[in-house]
Amino acid sequence: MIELNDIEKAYRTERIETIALQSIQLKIHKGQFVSIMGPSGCGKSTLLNILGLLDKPSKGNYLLDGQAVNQLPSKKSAQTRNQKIGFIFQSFHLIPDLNVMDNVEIPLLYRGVGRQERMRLVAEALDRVQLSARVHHYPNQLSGGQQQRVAIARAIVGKPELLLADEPTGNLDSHMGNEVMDILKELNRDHQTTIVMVTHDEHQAKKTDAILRLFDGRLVA
Amino acid sequence: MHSFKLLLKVLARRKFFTLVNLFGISFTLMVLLVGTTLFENFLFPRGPEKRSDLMLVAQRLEMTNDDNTTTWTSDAGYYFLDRFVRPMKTPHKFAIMGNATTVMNYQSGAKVELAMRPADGNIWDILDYQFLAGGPFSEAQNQAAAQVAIVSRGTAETVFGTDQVLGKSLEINGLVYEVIGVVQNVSRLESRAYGEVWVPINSLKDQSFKDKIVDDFLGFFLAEKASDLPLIKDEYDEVIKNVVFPDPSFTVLRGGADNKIEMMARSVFGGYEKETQAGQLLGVILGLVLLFMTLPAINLMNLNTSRIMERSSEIGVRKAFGATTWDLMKQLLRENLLLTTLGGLVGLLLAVLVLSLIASSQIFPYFEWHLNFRVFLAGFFLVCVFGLYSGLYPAFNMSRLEVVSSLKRRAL
Amino acid sequence: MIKHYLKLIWNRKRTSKWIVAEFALSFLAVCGAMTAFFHFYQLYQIPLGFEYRDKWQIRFQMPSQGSEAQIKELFRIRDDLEGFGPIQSVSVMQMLPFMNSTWSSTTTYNGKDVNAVHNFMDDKAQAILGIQLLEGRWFGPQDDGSDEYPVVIDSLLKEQLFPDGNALGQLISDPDDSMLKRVVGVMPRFRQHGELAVCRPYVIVRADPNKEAPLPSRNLVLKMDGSQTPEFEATLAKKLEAMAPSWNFNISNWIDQRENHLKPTLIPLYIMGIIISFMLLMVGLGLLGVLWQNVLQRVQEIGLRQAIGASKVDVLKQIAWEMVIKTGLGIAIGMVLALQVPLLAPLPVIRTVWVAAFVGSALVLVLLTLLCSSYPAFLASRIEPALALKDE
Repeated sequence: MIELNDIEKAYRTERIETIALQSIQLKIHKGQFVSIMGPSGCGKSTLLNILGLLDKPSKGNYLLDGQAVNQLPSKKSAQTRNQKIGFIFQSFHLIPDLNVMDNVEIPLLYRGVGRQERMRLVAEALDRVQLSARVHHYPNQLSGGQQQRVAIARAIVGKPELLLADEPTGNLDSHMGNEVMDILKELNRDHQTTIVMVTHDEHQAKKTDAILRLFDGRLVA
Repeated sequence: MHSFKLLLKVLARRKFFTLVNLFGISFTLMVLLVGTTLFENFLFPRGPEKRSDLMLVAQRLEMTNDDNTTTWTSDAGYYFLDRFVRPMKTPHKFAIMGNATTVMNYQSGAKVELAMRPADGNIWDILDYQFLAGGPFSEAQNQAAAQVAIVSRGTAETVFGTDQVLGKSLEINGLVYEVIGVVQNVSRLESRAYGEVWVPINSLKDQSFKDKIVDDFLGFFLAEKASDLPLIKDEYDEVIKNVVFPDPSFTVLRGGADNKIEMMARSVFGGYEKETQAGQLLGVILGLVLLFMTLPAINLMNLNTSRIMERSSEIGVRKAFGATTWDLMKQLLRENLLLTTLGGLVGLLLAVLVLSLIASSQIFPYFEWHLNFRVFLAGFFLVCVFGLYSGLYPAFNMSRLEVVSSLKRRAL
Repeated sequence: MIKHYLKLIWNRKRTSKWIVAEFALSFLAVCGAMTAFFHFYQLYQIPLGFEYRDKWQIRFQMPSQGSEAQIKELFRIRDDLEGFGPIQSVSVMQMLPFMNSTWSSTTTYNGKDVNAVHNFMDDKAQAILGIQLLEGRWFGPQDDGSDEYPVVIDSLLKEQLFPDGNALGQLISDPDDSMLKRVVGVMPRFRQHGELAVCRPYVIVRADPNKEAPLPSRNLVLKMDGSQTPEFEATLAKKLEAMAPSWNFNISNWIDQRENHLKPTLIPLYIMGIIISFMLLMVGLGLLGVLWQNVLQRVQEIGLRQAIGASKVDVLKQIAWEMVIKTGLGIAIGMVLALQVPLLAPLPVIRTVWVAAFVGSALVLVLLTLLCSSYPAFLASRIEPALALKDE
């Protein structure tokens, strides 16, 4: 599913060059649930952004589904993100002026899915996260855990093969965090969705198939 | 003083928004000031029509027959004014003056067009022409058809190249007039008094106007006190109803004696009745002014709202440090008022500029503008009101704003 | 997708509504100005009906109940002036163009009444004014001695009085039958008050020194050969003083007359145009500011949209669409308000002018919107999702 060969990411300003990632070799198979751990500033987010095509590596190759994606033009990478990848963020990033239904359907709008089909897919996704009763609520009327579940519904509504989660439980208490983790586990189990999750929480990481540890931009065993 | 400097700094930091706001405020105030100054100079003249508040003028007439098949609309005729209006009891003073006719003069070697007004000897008691040299002609001189003329300073300078013109000969339409007086230039805005040469009515070559009901003359009434004005109107209405027509094919005469605003209303809405639609005219003008002010007010409000949104993080911090909503609103309003004041000053400068341009462009010959400070203060007050209003609404919105996470501007 | 944007705008109505209001007001202002502009433009397109260049006029002031001797005197002066200096030919005219007076009277044919502007001109006026006849002929010596008054009418009066198209030779009259007028020719519109005045039905009656006229002619039109100088005016004035010592007169040329006559209409139009342009500039700058702020506030939303599949073009489109929708709403409200004006107070403006003004102002506002939203939209499309979505 994911193959990273010798990935390097360097940020250049006028004088200083900061290396965020260095010689990353990584293979993640379809259906794996992998967590990435490491101290702040070690490059976790950068790695996740590269995986999610939000950022481009300075060097190296990235094969997604056997296809080289590291130098895709921006329009193509937007399409790929839309069809193959789902994102979950620590701070949910729901659009406050739209209700649950309207938030969840956004990826389908960019895909040009018809109204009937959209309704069906949104209902299905909300059903998965057990929020079918909250379709017409606005984000500020929901608890943090509920908001994150809406975000998950938005991530999975287009049935992506890869789900990228950036500290999905970071803003939640342990009870809500567990709820979110359960949903992710279920998705991984029932649909063979590949999941890559960045986390600080050793307890949550242990629930995944494998833990990758990053330190100073390198993968350590 | 400290907070004033702080405010200036805030405004300087947001250059774009400050400039857009300043532009909107100053432009609006400029247009309002120019408009009201012209209007004010028209309604409350400082020249010969100084006593406009005690003056009425009989001008427009409609003459028709019983079944209205033939109508003749024009200004008043000399016969009507002299025979029927002059004997009226209620006016303190009465005078007749003809409309300006363009006459030509070639004395300076080039062609000079002059606005000539034939007048009787009483006009000087009603219109306060300011004599720079010499004096007016008397009613006796008018009766004797004396060939004497009063010229404006501008006329003296263009025709003779000097303002020392007393006793000189002025040639108009093949007649030679002796200049016996020089008056200060009259602004075109004082349309009733405007002229460049004044001659006795009886000195005109052609005296055929003397038998006309409607023609090209104006009757000027001066009341002793303001309360006499309605009485004059009533008596004029009586006179007009009882006119005896020399030409029997006409039987009905209509018209009214107007002050300046009534004259304007009559020219806008038409009509020959005693009463005019002056109230309606003022209403329309006021409505247009309000509409004109609403656009910049909404613009300012929009900008303010987004300015506040932009500063939500700052507001969050201030709130966190214990500032009350009222404190924050006060700060915003102060900023807004400062902005409006600055805009007002710029608008004043622009208005002065535009008015000087108008004065020098000859759109209204001899127009000398006076920026009326009553007008300025009123305009400024209005701008302050809309400055407050356009600041209050967003500030009220702000008070409902939750302390949100700071914005991520790094991304740009 | 548009429905999605509509939802966003509706849910943000607290700020959206003022932008919509601003557009509604701007539409009213622009529409008013454009109506005036198109109205006068449409009038300006209609040919004047006569040639005004190289023409001078002499206005005499003499008793209005003119005696027959006076009219004969005027015709004599006309003939004497011919060939004097640069004067090519001279014609008598009762109402001069580009002046503020009109003589109109009811014209009757077959029980139908039309109010028409009347004028008197002599036999040479057609050549001097360059009037192109559509049908029939101008006046000439063959009209001498008839009791009827030969007239040339314009196409507008012909349409109204003779809908079946046959005007030549017909006898028209006034309600009280005081003047019987025989139509001898039809001309295009004759626009006495210049290019910016509304066209009215027009009748030109033959000016005949041997016949009584309700209003005597008092004016002469001179056709100059092009070599005239302003100094010639003084020479001409001297000659006239000698020819008619008891009359007052006034000489002017039609180029100046026309300019002075158009001024009272054009100056307010210019002023209105300047004020409206500045207003639009102010609205545009304000909009730019509001949108700019709007984009800054929505960095996260835009980043997120990109993360879940919006391309840069989608972002550009979104910002532009949102603005266009708000503009459209504002224009719609403005239109509803503007439509009240012709309903409440019918203006002398034809329907195509209204439609043109509506479409024109809508177009101007949409263009303004697109112009003002292009920079903020560009800013929005440059937002990097990786940075925008970074959690603190």
